[in-house]
Amino acid sequence: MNDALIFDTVRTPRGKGKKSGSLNEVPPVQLASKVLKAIEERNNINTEDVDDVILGCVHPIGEQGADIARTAVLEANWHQTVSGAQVDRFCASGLEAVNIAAAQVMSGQADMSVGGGVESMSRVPLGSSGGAWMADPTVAYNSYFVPQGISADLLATKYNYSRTDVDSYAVKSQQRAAKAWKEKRFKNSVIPVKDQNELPILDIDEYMRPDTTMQSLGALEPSFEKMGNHGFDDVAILKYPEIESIKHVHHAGNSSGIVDGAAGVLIGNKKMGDKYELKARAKIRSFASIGSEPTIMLTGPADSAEKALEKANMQASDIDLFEMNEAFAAVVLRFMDALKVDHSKVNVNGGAIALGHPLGATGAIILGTVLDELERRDLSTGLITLCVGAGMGTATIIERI
Amino acid sequence: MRLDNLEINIDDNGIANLIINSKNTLINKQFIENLKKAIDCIINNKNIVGVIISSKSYNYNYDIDFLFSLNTSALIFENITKLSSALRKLENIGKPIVSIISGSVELGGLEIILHSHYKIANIDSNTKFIFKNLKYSLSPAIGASQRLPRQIGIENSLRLFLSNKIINAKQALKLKIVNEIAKKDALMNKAKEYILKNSISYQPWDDKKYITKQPNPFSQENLGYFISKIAMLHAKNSDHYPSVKILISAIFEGLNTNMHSGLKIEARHFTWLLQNTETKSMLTTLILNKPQKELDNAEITIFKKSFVENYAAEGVRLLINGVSAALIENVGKRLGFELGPLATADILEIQCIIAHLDSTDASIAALIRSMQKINRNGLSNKKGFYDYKERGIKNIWNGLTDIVPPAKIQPAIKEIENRLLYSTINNIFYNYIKYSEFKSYEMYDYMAINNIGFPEWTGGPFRWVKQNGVESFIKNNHEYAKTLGSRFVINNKIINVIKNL
Repeated sequence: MNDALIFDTVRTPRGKGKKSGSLNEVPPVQLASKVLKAIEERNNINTEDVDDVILGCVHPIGEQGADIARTAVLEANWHQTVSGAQVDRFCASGLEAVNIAAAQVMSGQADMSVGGGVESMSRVPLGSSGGAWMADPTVAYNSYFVPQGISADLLATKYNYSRTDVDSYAVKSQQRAAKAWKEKRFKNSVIPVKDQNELPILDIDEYMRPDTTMQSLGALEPSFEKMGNHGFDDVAILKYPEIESIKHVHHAGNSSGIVDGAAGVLIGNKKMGDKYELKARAKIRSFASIGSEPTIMLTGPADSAEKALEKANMQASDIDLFEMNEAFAAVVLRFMDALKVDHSKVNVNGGAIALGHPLGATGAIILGTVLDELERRDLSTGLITLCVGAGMGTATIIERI
Repeated sequence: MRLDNLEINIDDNGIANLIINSKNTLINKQFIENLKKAIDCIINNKNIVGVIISSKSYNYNYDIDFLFSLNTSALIFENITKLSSALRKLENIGKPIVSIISGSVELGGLEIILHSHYKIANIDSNTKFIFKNLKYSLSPAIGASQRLPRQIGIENSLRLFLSNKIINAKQALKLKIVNEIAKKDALMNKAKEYILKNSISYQPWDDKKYITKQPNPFSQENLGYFISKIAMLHAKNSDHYPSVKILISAIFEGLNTNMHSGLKIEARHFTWLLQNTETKSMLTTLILNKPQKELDNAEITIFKKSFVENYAAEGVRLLINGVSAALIENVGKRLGFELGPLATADILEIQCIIAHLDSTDASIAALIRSMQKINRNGLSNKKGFYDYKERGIKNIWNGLTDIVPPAKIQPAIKEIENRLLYSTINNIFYNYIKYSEFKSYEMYDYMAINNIGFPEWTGGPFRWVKQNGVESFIKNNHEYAKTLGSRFVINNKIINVIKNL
């Protein structure tokens, strides 16, 4: 098996995912193609040598439809032989895309591929692709479907995370993200988004609220209480009858931010590294996806992490830094408890609560984040994982070379 | 032409009047064959310019004996689609089809009316559209789940199908179930007038001249409605009432396509539903075995008290055995009891539990006494197993775990379900022996469901035991009796009764 080597990680800054957000005026295909162009320029590669571009995208409809990966390849003016495929593993799509690109290289079926993702949540809103999972009565009944926010509150209730616990975590995420930006810890990966005239549009993750405090979070109303009262809490309790009532602890301030963004990871074999004199920053040690109970939905990260650790013949204690997507604060708290990992090793530069979660792109973004940080701290191993809709988890382990 | 309860008369203008004699109309093999023949006869007669369907009333229902006689999926599907295809053919021949509506309209009648292009209801007060919540029975089979939502919208249709509403002619007009209302004497002329004015007529969903305004389940508005409505219905009906799920599924799946496929979707769901154990149990007990005479009220009262107190007592026993209060309550509700056993104890006042204890229950008596000591007597003083707050909000008393700490490892849900079901069933059986052995067990099943609060989906305690295996019921009781007490001892008299079910 060939080593899947990581040569480069690139991402856009994350714009607020609403009409007033800075990236709202940039179509998602442009976000993705800007990432591809940056990969080409930074690494000085002839794109004819890239076999495939895999991009995660969770709402592949409208302007994100019709295989946005191939569309972005064409828009980036890459060589016509570069194919493109869009993948959807909900919130882990971006990491799944990286894993697929890595698998192509590891199996010898590609010499160089890009894995990444894109989501313009301000232009193609959350939930706009519908789906049988939540709307088809047979499926929703049989799978005890509840929206993800209800699952997050169910998880917090079942594992006893209080509003104080989740709010404290959120404050910490904001503080860490603010510090990371201040110390320019993201600079290796972030490319500023400019328009066709090279005029600047956005060069910072604009969703952050560094001045967040326990008091300011305390003023926020729970986001999912109303929807819970309209049947979803009861459906969750049908599945989890040990719970008397669901405590609604999550709100806009301790859940991931809705943002726009794109990312890409350039992965190749040694031959490509030698040809272009690229430094292999890290290699993919292992990756895994797994299904978990779909109503509580968000316990998959620990399972997928353990599966990936087992494949790499490693233990959680062998990992120097973790990136666990901050979909909701309780999900990370549960992950740390399940794997017995200290918060000092997890999301050390903040996470999606502070920085935002552009669904299809996040997996690739946080892989870049942890690799940059491993280099900065001169550490070796990183584990990236995300909770995934409908009860799944995806994890990837990287090791610096 | 005349066929048993059907009659076709054709007037000089070529208008056919299909009269359905409504006396005791049950939709069964004969009805299906005859209606199909009548429709074929109309379709094959080139001289007919339009059809008026009339009946003194449309209180048609499915003949459950007939449906149960269809003992394979293929037979059910074949019989259902035979009727629905005939109606579909008539609906789509291009000639105007008008219904004149009088009297009571029940689900079977509504299914037939809905295929007509124009519906005129008698304005008088005898015209009633009678909806019975189909939770305990069958969902539509021959088109109502497809035609009504296309005609009056998804939301209004679901609301009616899941309600016990009676709608008069005026309200039916407002809801667009009918197109026009008129006095009795004018009905026939108005129907003829429509036919003579509209030489070509189609349903909106078949009319090629107009854009179909069919509601789309994936429109932004409807998508949100479906997602939340599914949860509400699932939460309200737990997992034991499949006709609700079947109804909303048939609507959702059918409205994503055309009428032709929609009717097949509906029929396939119906075919599954009719063979579902819980559906069969409910239809058997509530319709086929419905008692002819009134039940004795005094007996019901005694019986209900004994049943409810016993249910509450089993909940308290589970609690003492280390089962968490939330789990006990939720499992009780999931099973289809109106309330959890502890909430029931609060309503009855916790003192009532004492009467149901035996010598092995000293710790329960101690729990009750210690709660009484701190005035936690039940709902009357807003403190019992629950704390009662304003607006009907209640929470399990958080001091309860100090007195009876839950076990580290909780039992399987099935185990709790069995305890609640077996103990209440045994109670009913003992009362059956004690008070009314001479009565039929079918009547007791009916009473258990209809009058005392035993869950409907079971079809009653006798039916449930028969369905789930008499031998395993006896064996499990025997096992429970060894460790859990005398309430799981069933005597030979009971064994004799249930072995002969």
